[in-house]
Amino acid sequence: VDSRDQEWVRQRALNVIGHELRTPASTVRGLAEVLAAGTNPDDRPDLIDALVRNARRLEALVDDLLAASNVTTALPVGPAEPVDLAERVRTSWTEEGGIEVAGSGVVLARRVSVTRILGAVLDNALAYGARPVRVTLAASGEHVRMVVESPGDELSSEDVRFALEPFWRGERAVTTRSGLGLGLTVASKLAEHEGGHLWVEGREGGGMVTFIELPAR
Amino acid sequence: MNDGRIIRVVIVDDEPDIRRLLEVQFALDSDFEVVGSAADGDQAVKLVRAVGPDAVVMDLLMPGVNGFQSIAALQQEFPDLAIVAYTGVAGDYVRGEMDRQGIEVVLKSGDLRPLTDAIRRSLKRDR
Repeated sequence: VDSRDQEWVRQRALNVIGHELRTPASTVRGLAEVLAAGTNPDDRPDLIDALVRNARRLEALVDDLLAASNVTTALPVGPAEPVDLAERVRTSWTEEGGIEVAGSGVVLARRVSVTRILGAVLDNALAYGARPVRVTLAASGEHVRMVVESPGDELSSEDVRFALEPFWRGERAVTTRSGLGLGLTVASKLAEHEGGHLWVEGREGGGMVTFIELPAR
Repeated sequence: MNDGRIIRVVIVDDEPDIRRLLEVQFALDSDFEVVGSAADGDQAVKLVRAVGPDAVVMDLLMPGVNGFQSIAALQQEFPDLAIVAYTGVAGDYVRGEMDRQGIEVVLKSGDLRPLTDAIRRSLKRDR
């Protein structure tokens, strides 16, 4: 991201954070005031549950923000081990869930990193694209390359350029879903931490392709 | 005011807790009656056809048919309906788009007053 984009991206990030915080914050205030004003006693347990739920949501958002600001100090430690990517995908995301896997590849990486990278990339692909999401695994030099294709609406050039920026949310996501836009940011940091790389391109015919390269065993 | 009559409102928001909060807040104001709630823009259009409210409180960011699309559909079918956009954040795009459609934007808050004031202003404009 060059300097002329920084202010614009910062503005979008603040908008995303503001939106995510405002909804639970205003719900907490409104519920507390309604309860203090003395509402129908039959409604009280229900409203108190909602109050607690939204206070917890606020707390979780603050945790996410702190984790995002601190992502490099929160990187996993410990030895790398062989991880079979096709098996990991099949175990956690079945084909009934809209994911098809082809090829194979065993990488040498920390298991917790692999789990978080796959979680962010595949959940993102399933949430924002059409089905099926196609996962292809193949050797690429000293790495294993995993290509995740999710068909959908054509990505804007900004969505491709800024996909890995913290708090960036794609055009479609912004109008339909809540979320902080941190999944791919954290996944790309983890891929680099494991000696690999993650990037995003627009898919021919619409949608998104995420590339992940991790060291081969 | 709505000629002294109770103002009948439909709430549209994908967050169940926001819908619930608005229902209990409106219940404390005798000028208003919530006549239905919907979780997305498509349900909203069907609900408005069924209950014929005076006003709609519309969230903008929703899965499926979002608020922008639903407002356009409602304005076409019910030109006299008062609609207020109720949203967490309104950047330049949202403000510009709502301004173009003559829709007042209210930021979500624990206080109902800004919303009821905006509904009253929208009703006056549409009468």
